Formats: sequence, C-alpha cells, structure tokens
Amino acid sequence: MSKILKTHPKSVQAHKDLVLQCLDDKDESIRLRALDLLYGMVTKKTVMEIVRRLMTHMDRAEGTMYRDELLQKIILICSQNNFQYITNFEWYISVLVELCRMEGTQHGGLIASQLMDVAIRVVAVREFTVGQMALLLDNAHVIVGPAAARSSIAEVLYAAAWICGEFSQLLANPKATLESMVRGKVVSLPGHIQAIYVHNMLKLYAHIIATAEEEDDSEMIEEVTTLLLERLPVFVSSGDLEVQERASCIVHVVTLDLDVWINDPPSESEEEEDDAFKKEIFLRDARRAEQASNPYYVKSSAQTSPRPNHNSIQIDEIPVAAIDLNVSLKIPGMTSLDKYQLVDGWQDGSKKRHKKQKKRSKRKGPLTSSSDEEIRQAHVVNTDVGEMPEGAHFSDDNEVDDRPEDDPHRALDIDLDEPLAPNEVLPTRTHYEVHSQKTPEESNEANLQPSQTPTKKKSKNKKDKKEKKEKTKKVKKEQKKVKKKFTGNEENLILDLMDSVKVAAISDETPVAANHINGITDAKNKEKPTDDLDFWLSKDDSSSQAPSEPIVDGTERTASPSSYPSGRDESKSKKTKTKKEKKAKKEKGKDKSEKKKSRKREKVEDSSIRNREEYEETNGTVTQDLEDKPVIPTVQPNNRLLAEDSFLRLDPQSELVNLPWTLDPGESKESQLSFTAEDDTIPDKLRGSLSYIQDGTSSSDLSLRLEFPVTTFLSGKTASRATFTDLLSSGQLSARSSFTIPECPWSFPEVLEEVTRGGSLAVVESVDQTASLYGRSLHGHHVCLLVKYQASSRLTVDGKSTEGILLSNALDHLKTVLMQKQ
Amino acid sequence: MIKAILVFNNHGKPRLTKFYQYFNEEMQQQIIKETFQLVSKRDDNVCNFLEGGSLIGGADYKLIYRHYATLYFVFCVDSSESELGILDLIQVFVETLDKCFENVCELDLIFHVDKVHYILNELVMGGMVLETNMTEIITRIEDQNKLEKQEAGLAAAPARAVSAVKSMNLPQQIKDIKLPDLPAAIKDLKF
Repeated sequence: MSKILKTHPKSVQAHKDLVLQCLDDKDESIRLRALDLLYGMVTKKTVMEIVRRLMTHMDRAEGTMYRDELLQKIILICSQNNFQYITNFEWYISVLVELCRMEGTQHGGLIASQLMDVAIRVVAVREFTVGQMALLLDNAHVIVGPAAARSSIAEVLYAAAWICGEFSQLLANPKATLESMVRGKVVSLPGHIQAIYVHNMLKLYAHIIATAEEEDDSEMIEEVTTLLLERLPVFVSSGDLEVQERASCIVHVVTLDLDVWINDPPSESEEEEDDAFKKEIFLRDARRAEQASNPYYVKSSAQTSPRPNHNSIQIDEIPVAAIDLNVSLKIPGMTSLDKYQLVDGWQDGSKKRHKKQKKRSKRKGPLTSSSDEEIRQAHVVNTDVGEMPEGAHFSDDNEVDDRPEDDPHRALDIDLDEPLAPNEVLPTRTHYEVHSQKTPEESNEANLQPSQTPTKKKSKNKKDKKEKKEKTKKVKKEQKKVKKKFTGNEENLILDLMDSVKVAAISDETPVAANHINGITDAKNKEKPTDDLDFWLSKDDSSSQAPSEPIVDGTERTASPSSYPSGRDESKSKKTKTKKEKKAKKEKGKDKSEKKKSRKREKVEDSSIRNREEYEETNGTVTQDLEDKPVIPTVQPNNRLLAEDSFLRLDPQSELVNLPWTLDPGESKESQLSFTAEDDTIPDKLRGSLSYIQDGTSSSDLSLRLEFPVTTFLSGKTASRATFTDLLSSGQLSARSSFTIPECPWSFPEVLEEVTRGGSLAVVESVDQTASLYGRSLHGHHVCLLVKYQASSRLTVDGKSTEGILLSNALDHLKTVLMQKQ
Repeated sequence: MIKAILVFNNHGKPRLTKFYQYFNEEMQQQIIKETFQLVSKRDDNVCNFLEGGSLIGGADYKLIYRHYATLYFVFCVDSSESELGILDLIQVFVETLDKCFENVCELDLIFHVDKVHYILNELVMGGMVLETNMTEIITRIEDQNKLEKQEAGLAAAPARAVSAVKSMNLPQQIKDIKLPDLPAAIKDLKF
C-alpha cells in the first residue's frame, strides 16, 4: 500500500479507518507499516486528531526505536507539503514543544529545524513562538536532563536561543530571557549551542539597550551591561573556540563606549551594518558560520544582510552542521529566498511550488523549496578527470608500453588472462609411486595407520611387520598374550590358567568376571573348598592392553577371532600405557618359537619404555576402578599361590604373572597387571588360566577369558561441545557408519547409560530423545556418535570417526549389546 | 538477496549459521545475539517479518523467521526478496531436512553439518535462491549420497575386508568346493 500511496493517494484514503485501527495493534511491525501509510491519510481536518493519537502512543511506547520513529513521522506528516495541512500553527508549535519533552530522541535537530522554520516563515505565530521559546529557555535545565548525552534534544535549545535573539523585539521580558541565557548551566551544553547562545545574547542585549535608550532607562542599561560582563568571562574561558571568540567579542563590544558604536572597525569590512547592532566587530569567520546556520536570513528583515558564502543547506542539516559547513555548491545566493515569498504571500508561493515538490521524495522537508532546484541546476558535477598533480598523465589508454625494458614496473605488468605458458607452471608435487610393494603390504599399511607412532621406529618396524604379515596372512584367529609391564617392582606373577572353563565375556565391567569366576569356583568347590584369587579388573582407560601376539603354529586355538601374524610384535615399537589388570593370560600350546619371540619381545619392550612413558603422561587422566565383588568361598589356610607357569618356561617376566599371595578364607586381594595395546581398532580377547594351590596339595587351574571390545580403548573424558562441533565440521571424520535397531528393548536413558558405561563415551549434548556422544581412543582417534531414539522404540546410532575399522567395530559391539535384552 | 541464514534454539545457541556477506567473527556473534533478542521477544501469533536491527544492514533488511518447536529459522533478506516467498523457502528447507534425516532435531544439525550444508547449498547459493522444489532437491541430495558411497570405496576397503573375513565360513566353504570332473580318460579307469 505504501507504494500505491505515492501514485494514488485517494485510493488509500478510503481505508483510513482501518489504518488508524492498525495503529493500535500490538504487533509492532503492523504499527510501523500503518505509520507509513498515514502519510496519505492526512487531511486538514484529520491531522490534529492523528497527531494526537500518535502522541498518546508515544507516551505508551516505552523508550524504543518505535518512539523515535513515531516522532519523526509526526513531524513529517505535519510538515509535508509546506505545512499544507496545518491550519493552526499555534497548535503545531505546542506539539513541537511537547515533543521536546521526549527523552532520548535522536531527532532533536528535526524538531529544532521545524521550530525555526515555523518561526521564520509564519510571522503571525512569531509572537507566540517566541513566548514559548522563552519558556523553553527558562526551563532549559529540565530539558538538559540526565538523558541529554544520548539525545540531541539539546538542539532544541539552539533553536530556542536563536529565535529569541532574532525576534527579540517580540519578547515580553527580554531581560529575563537574557538572564536565563547567561545562567551557569549553559556551559554544559555542546559547543555549537553555546556559541549560538552567546551570539544571541548579544542580540538581546543590543535590543534591550536600544529600548532602554529610547526610554532613557540608563539604569536598565547598566544592569544589563554588568550582568553580561559578569557572566561572559565564563564563556570566554570555554573550551570551544567558537564560543571563546564570540564571547570575547561581545565583551569587547559591551565595554566599548556608546559613541564608538558607530565606528567601523577595520577587521570587518564587507558587512552591511544595521544601525542598532554592531556586528562588524566579529571576525569574518564567526560571521560566516553564524550565517551559515541561518539561511533564512532575508534581506528585507531588519537584520544585517546575509553572506551567501556558505550555501545550500538542507533543512535537516542546519543545527548539526552550523560550524563545520563547507559544502562547496554554489547557489545563486540567497536571492533564491527572495522568490520565497515570506509572510503574507507565502501561501501562494507554496502553491506554486507544489508541483515541483511532488517530484521529490517525501523525506525532504518542505523547505527544500526552490532553492533546491537552483541548487541542482547550478551544481556541476565534475565527471572529468579533474585536477591531477603535475606531470601525471592519464594512463588508462596506454596501449604502448613505453617504459624501459628492465623497468621493474614493466615486469610486474602481467596479463592475468592468458593461460599459463609451460615455463610458467609451478612444479607441483605428484604422487610418488612405489612399485616394489606387494599388495598385502599396502593393506597392512592401511591396517597400521591408526596406531600413531611418534618415532621412526615404527616405520622401520612396519616394514618388518609387513614381511611377517605376509606369511601369516591367512591366520584368522586372534589370541592375545599378556605383556607384562616393566615396573620397578618385579612382581612376577605367574598365572597359569586352564583352558577348560570359559569365563563369560568380560567387557569393561569386571564384576561379571568375578561372578563367573566365582561361579566356576563354586562348581569346583564341590570337590575342593578352595579359595580363590580375587582379582578385580580395575581398568585404567589410559592404559593400554596386551598386544595380540601372533601365533604361528596351528595348535589349539579356540574359536576366537583372528590373530595377528607372528612377527608382528617383535618389530613393533609398542606404546604401552599402564593399565591395572589382574589377569595375565597365556596361550596354551605354545611353541618354542614363541619362547624365542618372547625373548625378543623383551628387548623390544625395553626400547619401548620410553614410548610407554610418553603415553602414560598423555593419557593418564582417566582412571576407573571397577571392583569385583570379592566373594571367596571358605578357604583353608595355607593357601599359597604357585608361582609357576605350566607351559611357558621362559623367563617368567614375559609370560607369566606371579601372584605370590596367600589368601585366607574370606580374604580378597587385588593385583594389577598392565596390558599394551598396539592396535586399538580391533577388539581382542584374552584367554588364560589361573592356577592356584590350595592346602599345599595340588595346583588347580581356573580358566579365564577376558574380552576387550573396542570400546574399552575409548575414553570420553575430553568431550566438550566446542571441540565436538569443530571436529564435525573439520572434515577429519572420514569414516561413517550407522545402524538401526527397530525394536530396542531399552529405554532411552538406559541406552545412554549403557553406551557410556565405563566411561568409554561421554555425552556431549542431549536433547529430548537424542544425544551426541564422543570418545577418543588411546591412539587419538576420534569417535563421534549420534544416538536417536524415536517414538516407536526405534533406535538409530550414527557414527563418525577418523578410523573406519575402529568405528565399525565399536558400532558392532554397541549393536550386539543393545540388541540383547536387559 | 539473502544476507544470512541463522538457525538457533530457544536459548539462543546457534545451530547453523551461514552468512552470504562478509562479517568478521565478532560481528557474526553480535548479529546472532541481536537477532535472537529480537526474535525471541515475539509472540507466536504476530507477524513473521521483522525490520532488522541496526547491525545487519539497517534500513533495507528484514528478518523473516519461523519458529518450530525448539528452533528458530531466521533469514535476513533485503527488499528484493518476496517475504512470503522466503517464508515458504524456510518451510521447504525444514521439510527437506526432515526427509533426509528422520525426525530431524537440533543435534542432527550439528552432527550432520556437512549434509545440512549440502542441502542448504541446493536451496540458496551466494545469497540467491536456486531451487524451491522439494522433490528436485531431494533427488539431488540422494544422487550425491550415492556418489559419496561409491567414492568411499577405497577408504572403506579395510572395514569391508574385516567384515568379510568375519562372515567367512571356512568349513562350509570347504564343503562347497566343487572339484572339476576328472578327464574322461581317467574317469573310466578302474582299479
């Protein structure tokens, strides 16, 4: 509608009532739009009412942009088309004055200019206006309130002062006004306002003197003079230069002998003088600046003639740009204002200009009048090259390059549009092809990527690995060996565990293991009430786990997943992290070759201690102690543990773990073991057996089995929202996988608990039935998960990781866990 | 032209931000904060079009927003865009997201940030609206997914190998070995 308004105002007017209603809507956007439309709604009769309504709005709307908007709109509405719609200017002046009382507006200048506008152009109202302005000045302290800093409301005082000075003959009580102007608070106003104050003080003063002289009231003269002289020094010492200058000039004037008034001081030459006022004393700049702010000076008035040195000023700019004006447009002077028929004839003039003004946008105030057009005509826009410094010439058209050949600037003149010549192509790095590798090695490479190696050792070792791996590529089963930790205290614990009983899968929760062990012992206890070793698995997530040792032989292997090629461990540099574990396990049926390997392993282990320590430092943060319920059946005394290994007779440090305890009945003890995990992306299982002696008789064995799903290698400790987001958006997580469980038997909180059990993954953020999780593996791989539980108990788990194998194994594990019933 | 697309939740946390005009980090944060303040004050039954705050460009720019359950989708546009059109665009965007991720929620936007950006790029590019038809967009996204899966072939090889190995059943395979027939000459030999 606003667009229609411009072309067809009549059609919009039909909806005036609706628009007015919209004004009261609680939706701010609607109100703003309605305001826009109001332009077209205004008629002579309605303008008062509309403005009144807007004013009430303003009181209601609390200090927002909206208020400001309102104010601006009010003024624009009223002043459109040269105040076409306003019949009662007194009313308008009072509206403006009321607007002054608004705090925090940015449109003080606008108000000020309106005030001045009306005061100048509408002579009939001048007296009233002047009276109001005097009131304003008296109450200046009200206006310059606490909010003055942010608002430009003080501009109004500018207008007030000027008007009073200008039309001082209409003032009822000039002396009182003068007094209010010189009051002390004025110095807190901005500089340009003070300047105007000072200036107008002089005008007032002169006027007072003149009248007093006529009435021969020399007392009055003296009073006023002394008053000024008292107060002016404050201004003379003001910080603002303009104020200083003016004040000092005034002082000078005031102290002059009355007879000297007539004289024309040499510094001022070009101004015409008014008989009553002595403006020649002011310096030319002060004068110009002052006149610049008063474009409405008209020759026909009793004032001194204006100096058209500073020219076209838009109405909105007047108060703000008083001093700083240096627009260089040339107007054919104020003569244009002569056409602007003031006072009586202004109505006619305004009608003539109607048509011209319709073309302009509504934003400009009406006073941009004919002077505007002259401005446009006279203003020649310099579109040529303009002035250039000496010796410079336009080089845009240079086709011929006449610089010398070796001029560096010529060399820089490269045409970027041409394609690269062969000699200009930068050498790029291309993929280095190595043809000697066999494919399995490459896949080995891929497999070995995840383990980060800080040193070259790894690369060397990788090569070895590859060779070995080739040999045993077909081996699928996986078995682990325990690598004991080289600690200071060589507690060599030998646990020799039988193969017969399989312990249930032990994930991060070790209580299960204990229970099962206990179960086993209970079963066995029918025969022997033996004690049992309690060993809890307390897992330190920062520690590593046993590397899976390759077993070349085809001897008994139980159905456990794939094993690694044999030579692998030998040549690896291991990263070892301490992990408290209790069980050390061994494989049965090892070859002698293994013994050799274990020896080698030892050596390698030595060298890898350094690595171990490194890793210990970095990962030693998370500790989890999971204790088994110590359940020991009744035990007979004298139970000792056999420190012997049944089949590995190698040096005990490598294969066997000794627990030289004696357990009394009902007693439980704990021990720690550490495992090294070289590859944290693949789940492992450890089997072994625990042998114990009871009653000094025979040794019996308990077989144990530990499972290490991939999640045991994860730690969620470092999860934070920012890192999570960064990680996701960085593109590092190349591996993606997901699974869905259509009918998940768990509820969402249970799912979450299950997934985060053991601290392997931590919840980063959780919203409703969705949660995002994060985990970081020992070797620094990131795993991010999104778990979504939908209404139909449908569970979706999405995963992203830097390492594909790790991710798929982790998800597999989670899936199996979550598919089981509780 | 669309100047920016912001998605934040009821607490003002940005879930997706895309600026089509350069702002430095600080400015971006401020814009988000300001927009959130402006938008969160609105009732649910008032106009969805807001004049923007001073920060994001001033007079010409509008904020067009939609409030879904916990998320605000805000598009900052200039006067050349139709407001209702943009409102519809927001709807298309949200519906596409819903199709691509089931029951899309806030965390999806973070977790699948790349996918979300792909979808957004189908919709709007460089501040200009490209496509408004939902089926078209979904077709493109699905094509893209397919391509991605194919390309992931190389990197996924080890994972696939491991899973293949796990599912291999050697005894069964041995049983299934089909030996070729003996050549005729030998076949008839009788001992």
